[in-house]
Amino acid sequence: MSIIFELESPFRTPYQLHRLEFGTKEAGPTVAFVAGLHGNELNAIHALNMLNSPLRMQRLRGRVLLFPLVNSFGADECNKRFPFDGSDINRAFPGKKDGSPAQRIAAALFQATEEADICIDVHSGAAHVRELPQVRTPLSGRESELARAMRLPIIWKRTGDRLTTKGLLGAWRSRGQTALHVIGGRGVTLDNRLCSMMATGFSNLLAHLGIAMANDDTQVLAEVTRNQIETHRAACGGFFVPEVRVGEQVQPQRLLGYLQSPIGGDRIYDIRTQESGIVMTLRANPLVHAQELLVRIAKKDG
Amino acid sequence: MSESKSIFSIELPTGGEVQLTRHRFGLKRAPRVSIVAGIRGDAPEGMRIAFSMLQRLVELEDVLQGQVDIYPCVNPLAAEQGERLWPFFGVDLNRLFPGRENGHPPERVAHALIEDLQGSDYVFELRGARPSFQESTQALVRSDDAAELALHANVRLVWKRTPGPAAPKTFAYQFPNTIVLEGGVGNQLTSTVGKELSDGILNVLAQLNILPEEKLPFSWASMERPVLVSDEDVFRIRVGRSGFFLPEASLGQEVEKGERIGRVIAPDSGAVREEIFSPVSGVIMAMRVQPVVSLGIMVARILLN
Repeated sequence: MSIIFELESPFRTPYQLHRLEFGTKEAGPTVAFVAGLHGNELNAIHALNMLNSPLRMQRLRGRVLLFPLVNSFGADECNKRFPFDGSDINRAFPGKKDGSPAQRIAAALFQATEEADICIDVHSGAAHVRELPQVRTPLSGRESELARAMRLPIIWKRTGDRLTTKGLLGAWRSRGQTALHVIGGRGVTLDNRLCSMMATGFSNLLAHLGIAMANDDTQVLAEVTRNQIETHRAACGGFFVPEVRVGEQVQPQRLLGYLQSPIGGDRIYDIRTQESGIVMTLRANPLVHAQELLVRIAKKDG
Repeated sequence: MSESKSIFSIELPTGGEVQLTRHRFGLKRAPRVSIVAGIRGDAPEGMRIAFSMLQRLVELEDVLQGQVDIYPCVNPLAAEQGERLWPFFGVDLNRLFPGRENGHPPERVAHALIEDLQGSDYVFELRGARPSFQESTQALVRSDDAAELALHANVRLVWKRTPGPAAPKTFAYQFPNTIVLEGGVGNQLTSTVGKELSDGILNVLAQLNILPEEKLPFSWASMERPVLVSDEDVFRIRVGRSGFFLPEASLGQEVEKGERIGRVIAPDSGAVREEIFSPVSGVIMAMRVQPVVSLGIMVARILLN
């Protein structure tokens, strides 16, 4: 493990950006995995750390760079943002060497991943939603091929028209790098099972690239575009009680959950599927505002 | 020679750490005065005064006739963010005293601090103004001895307060002779207040014969002559409507009974919801400077004539 960047802090020991490096670039392609841009996304951090031991034990035909925890100061207090100024490091790219703390960290990370042929930005869901491990990829091309190679439960093909170059993924792509976005689990909490799925997906990718051995015990449950996702949002504010789990296969008219009054518990309305599919996103915090996301179903025939 | 010592190390989950430091001047001499700042992270004025004292005592150490310990920031993680509460745990360190040796980190810090302060003859707690307020310089005390000493602290008033229900868990309550110094504007520095209060502490040290009076970098005649007040001398004005409070009086101003000190307006239209009149005559010793208010919020504190 090496420290590739340090930043003086007012009271505590300096901020340090750590990198774990395995293999050599002469032996094959370089893949960079980044997690913990958001300090409360603990599943992503854990999934990357799961790669450490197997990578150490193999003779790699390529190079793997792991940045398991970028926002360590945020993680110390389970905070998504960098605590000194409340900034989102994932909105500070490509960074500035003489800028704010978040911009300096972003600049150091961006530079440290410059030589990577393939870049993977790993996140958990937000603190209030739980996500089935999924890789988000453009509709076609090299990234789409690599996304399939991961064999994570969900492949979500997106146009990328809402991608910002202030985020790491957009910054990588604008630099011409092949970059994928992986999400799994829920912020703030740890789900070991979902972390294992993500780590296996990363191993599968490295095997596909000929760098390491495959783990190969995952399968794609659905490959979808936006039109192939059934999204349920709250029709009004209330208390959401789920009746399903992420990863569950559901049939039409299955009860996904219901909204009830937070005071008194009167049932307001039921939420049911229209088509069969996989529960890929599920609201975890029950108190919801009108129009907030409750459930996403990846349609099975998508 | 002064001595700096870590009294507690906070280990952070990701491997970093932060030290709580005590700076000691005048080794092994009595009496011992301890000065504590930064119990809450939104009181930078108190920390500024502590750092100012550090600089001034370096120059005066050779003539000290006692021991002065300075703890410039005991809640550093909150101070890093200018927040009142200890991050992650979301707790107010000033409601955790005397702390617990085997509690969570904030409780351990409280415990370590109280242990390290044992044997202090006099204790100062340095704060700023309360959040959202501009306040006159003042010393808050509980005992008669502390009140008498605080009269030399270069403040406008010395307020002898009766402890409330939460008091036993506060830092100041742990040492009956604690003098709490406040003043300025919440969560910011005020140009004059830091100098006034650090001068005041040096003046108190001279009164205790810890510092020779001739070594004071100011004349004793320049010191404030505060009034000594009790809870009955202080009146709080609260708003009866929620909205946007616009003050029409300022700190230190004398107001007559029935005089308007501000208005509450509706944030959506600007219409006046309430005019705030002072029901008493006196001097404004604290004024709200953060305008958003809810019904029942205090907007001014008046020292009765």
